[in-house]
Amino acid sequence: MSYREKKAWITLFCLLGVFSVYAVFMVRAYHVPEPNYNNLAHLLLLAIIAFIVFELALLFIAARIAPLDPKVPGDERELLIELKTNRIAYFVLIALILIVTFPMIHVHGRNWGFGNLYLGALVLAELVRFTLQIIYFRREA
Amino acid sequence: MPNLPISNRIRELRAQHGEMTQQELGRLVGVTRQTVNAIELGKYSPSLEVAFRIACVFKQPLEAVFHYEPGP
Repeated sequence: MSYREKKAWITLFCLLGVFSVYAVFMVRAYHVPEPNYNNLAHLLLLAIIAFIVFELALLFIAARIAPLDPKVPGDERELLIELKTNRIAYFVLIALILIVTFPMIHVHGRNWGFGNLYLGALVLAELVRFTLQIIYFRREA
Repeated sequence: MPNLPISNRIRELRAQHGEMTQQELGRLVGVTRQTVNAIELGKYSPSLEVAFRIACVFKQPLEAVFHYEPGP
């Protein structure tokens, strides 16, 4: 298994592990009449920190087991795989943001500001994508 | 997995070069062992540059290593 594949497995493992625990806490908090929003925010922060710590620890262990692996530069096939997966993930992100935004604006009217923030992020991401495309097209023309 | 129209003789050429390992070929070409394996099995078509590098390692012209077999 190449180092990049190991890295992908580690990230997947950490994401699933940390954020499934986080999701359980969130579902429980949803059923509490007056949840402590500060605690929920702290929980999110804790989840992000835990994710980073676990990821770094596992990458460190992987590097100790096979010290030469991280030094091998990525090749064209691995880059192509990353590009393909980034593209698919991006479309998934767009779909999810749209799915989340509409209920936030229309069903929970008080959260319209957050809904619009999501939408703003989507628009900004699209602007960056197309601006970069134009730059690359011009540079490589 | 789609059948790629490019076949190759990498396995045979590795055997002719003292049973060169995929790891060794990958190191000489600048790709990972997994990529050499994918090319060898016809699961991945390399870029022209990598194809030339592989041919150079075996001191063969490109067409002696890779063959293009257009479909019907």
